[in-house]
Amino acid sequence: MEITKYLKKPSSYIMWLLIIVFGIVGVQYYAGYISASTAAIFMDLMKFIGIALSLAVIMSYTGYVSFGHVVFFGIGGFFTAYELSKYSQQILQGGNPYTIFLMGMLIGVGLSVLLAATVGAAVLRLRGAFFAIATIGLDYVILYLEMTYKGGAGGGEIYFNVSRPRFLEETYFVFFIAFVITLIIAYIVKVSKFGYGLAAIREDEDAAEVIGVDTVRYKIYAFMIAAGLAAIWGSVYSWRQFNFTPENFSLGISVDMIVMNVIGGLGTFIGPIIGAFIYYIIYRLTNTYLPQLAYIILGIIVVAVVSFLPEGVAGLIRSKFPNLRKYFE
Amino acid sequence: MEFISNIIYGLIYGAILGAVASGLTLIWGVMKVVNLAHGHLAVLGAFLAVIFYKYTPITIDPSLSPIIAFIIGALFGIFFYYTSLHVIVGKAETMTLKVEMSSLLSTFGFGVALYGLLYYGSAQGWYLQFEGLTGWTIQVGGKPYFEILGVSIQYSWLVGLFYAVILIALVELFLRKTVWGLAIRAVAQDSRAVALTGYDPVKVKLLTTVLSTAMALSAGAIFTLYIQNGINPDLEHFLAPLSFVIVVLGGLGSVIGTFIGGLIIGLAYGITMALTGTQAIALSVSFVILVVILLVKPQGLFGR
Amino acid sequence: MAEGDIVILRVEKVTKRFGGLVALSDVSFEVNQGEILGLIGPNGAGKTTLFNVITGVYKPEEGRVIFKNKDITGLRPHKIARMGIARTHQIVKPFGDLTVLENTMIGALYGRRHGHITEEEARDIALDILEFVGLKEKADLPARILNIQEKKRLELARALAEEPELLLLDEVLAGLNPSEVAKMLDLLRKIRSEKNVTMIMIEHVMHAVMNLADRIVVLHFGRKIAEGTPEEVASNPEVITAYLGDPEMALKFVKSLKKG
Ligand SMILES: Nc1ncnc2c1ncn2[C@@H]1O[C@H](COP(=O)(O)OP(=O)(O)OP(=O)(O)O)[C@@H](O)[C@H]1O
Ligand SMILES: [Mg+2]
Repeated sequence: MEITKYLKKPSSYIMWLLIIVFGIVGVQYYAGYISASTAAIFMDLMKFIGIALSLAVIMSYTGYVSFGHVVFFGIGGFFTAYELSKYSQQILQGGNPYTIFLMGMLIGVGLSVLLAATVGAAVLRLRGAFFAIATIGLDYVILYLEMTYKGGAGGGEIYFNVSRPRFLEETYFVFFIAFVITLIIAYIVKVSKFGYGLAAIREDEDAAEVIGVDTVRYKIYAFMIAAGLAAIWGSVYSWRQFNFTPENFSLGISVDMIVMNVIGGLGTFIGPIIGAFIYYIIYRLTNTYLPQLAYIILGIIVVAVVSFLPEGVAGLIRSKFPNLRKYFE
Repeated sequence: MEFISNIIYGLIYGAILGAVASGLTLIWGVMKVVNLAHGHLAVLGAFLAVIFYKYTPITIDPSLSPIIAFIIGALFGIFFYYTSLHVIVGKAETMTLKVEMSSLLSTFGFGVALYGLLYYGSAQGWYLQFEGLTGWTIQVGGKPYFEILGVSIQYSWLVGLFYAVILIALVELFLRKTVWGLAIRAVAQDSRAVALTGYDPVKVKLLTTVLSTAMALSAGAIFTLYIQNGINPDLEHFLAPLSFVIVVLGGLGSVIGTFIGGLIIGLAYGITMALTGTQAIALSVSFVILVVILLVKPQGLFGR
Repeated sequence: MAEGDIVILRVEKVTKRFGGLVALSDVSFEVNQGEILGLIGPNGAGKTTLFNVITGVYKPEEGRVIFKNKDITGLRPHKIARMGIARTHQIVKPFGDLTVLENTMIGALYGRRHGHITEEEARDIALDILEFVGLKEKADLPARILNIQEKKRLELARALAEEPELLLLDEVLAGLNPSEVAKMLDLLRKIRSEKNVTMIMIEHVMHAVMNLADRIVVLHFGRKIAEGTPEEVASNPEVITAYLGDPEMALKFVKSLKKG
């Protein structure tokens, strides 16, 4: 079948390596050989890679900077928290939280994909900065609507409680599953025929259309996939935090996603992953000393990369080491 | 009564927001640089107004801060241009979609760094006890405000309004009445053609950036005259999107459009505040207007 | 037009306006299978606009475009492309950050065999075509670093990879120096003899059209002012006043070229 063929390409090796490494870490953590704080690092990394790749599908592959992409992250998280708090009684009485979690996630993902397919489809008629701004608008509208939600703790905040004996260990695997799903989907989108079409749209949308790419439909599909992936991460994030706050709609999260994509390199699958690692390292280093320093450093790096390394770190590796190209798709 | 006062507040607020957006009209609407640092620059101006009032050896009255912020902004604009824009737009012959997107990303980076800097400052205690312009008023006859139609209006707002109108008139004059204005318009279309007329395209771009930055900082100071308190780096999340909304609404490159766009957004804000009393809804209305305008009339109300 | 020719494209009374400007006015003509039709006319005559109407980029206000007996007026461009019409652009539009090979593969993947072609097949087709147009050595380079001549070849490669039945060429010779023009002409002849495609070529390089085209259509201010063999067109007084300038010179020019 087509899909298994893609999963055997040399460019998928790095993805498999990541899956194996993160999987082993999970098993070790479950077995008690790895501390919770170390595991937390790996979980953060998975989340950063996950949200970076979710944006990559529309921004990096297709060329549409979805600045308000966090809106889908927020929607995913909101419905997860909403369901979990709604059924908190059942959970306390021993009900299985995972079915409720999954239900919340599916609602969040479904509505995100729906939003991308409807409002998104309309907004995708806009190009360049107009699209970026319209998505910011979309995020604000949904955020403000959400903030009027008076349930939960009020002010748009929802708290819930999932008491499980090994909650953290299990949550590692929740993240891991989301991670594997995101990697595989983002990878296949990139290397498939669909990915070629998206790349054509990114490079020159009019030329792509004239050559036979159904640009309208492709853009919508890409946006739906990007939205769905972001919603998955919003959902698992809320699960881990035991809450949802309007902060989950904050543009700061969009900023993180964009920064990782730009630094890593636009137009590749590997770019956002590299970007996420670099981002995370800077984030950790500065966080220990001065949290605000992270923004200063990251901002400077973004300017430098856009000015002098427009294809990002992945692009640099690809051009400096042509032999590695087939692994760094 | 409540309703009338909300409308009047909305109009004043709108005019001031129009001033915040006017610098963006210049750099984005005319020069085609999608300046995502614009909101941060305005916040910097707002910070300056407070710093001059409270944290400098000589106290500068906030009613003068828009002028000082303009001058500092002009210098800062040179820095901004050479650090974030020159490599990307300096040599670009036309502002293609790709160049536009690169400018979007690099100004975004600059904005993130500036945001970090302002935050860093806050956290380091440079202006930890941030209280805005607390204690400052302009009084006439012993009162900081006057009443018309039962609506009380602060004198400091009028000062802000005055500056806002001046700022918008300034861009309008610059664009319409000077050769440089024409050159800026031309440079986004075709740098080579501009070069043929004897103007250095790079100088034109630098000048535009400088002017736009000066206006952003000045407008930030004006904004401070209006809100007085609650100045913090996150204000950007409010100012930047609204500026983009206003510029799109008014039509890219239309200065008068920016002013009217500001008034419309201010009014929409005032009216929804009056009707719902919820800031969240009042703000989201602006964005609904934005998305609808973008889809129905992307060239804006006054765009060509 | 000889008996028994199969009409592949029929443009019927097409009118296209931009605001007050009438870019095409009541234009009709036919293209026979296998022929090369030259499309000439002064700058701004509406030639590129006509291509845009045929490929669905613009919808005409009036008139129809019939391709292989199907009305394609107003269809979206990608549909028309998949039916077998490919084009090059006057202002080249390479996918700059993609490699030359990828550019060409996209043509193969989305062209006429869209949906019935694997990536490997597309790659093979693309490599063949790059060889054919002489870009094989550049296959793995990003398209943006090609020079103008190579970019024009890439446009051609991408269009050919779609395996079209009708190929629209918009000034593929413009901007090339004389030796590059000669090479490109060889390539066009090769396409004519080896690939089974019908072509419409817009060209300002007069000796090239006169030489290659079986028939010529002349546009002027959006109207068709003449149609016929190169000789007929070149001796048509209206065309001459509109376009060719000095009639005697033009005829001599044409004759000398046809001989040589
Ligand atoms: N999208 C458009 N909007 C407005 N006017 C247009 C548009 N496209 C073309 N035109 C106008 O239509 C007329 C015909 O243009 P067209 O590009 O078809 O000419 P052309 O024959 O290809 O010329 P050239 O030989 O210079 O390429 C011109 O006056 C042009 O300005
Ligand atoms: Mg043309």
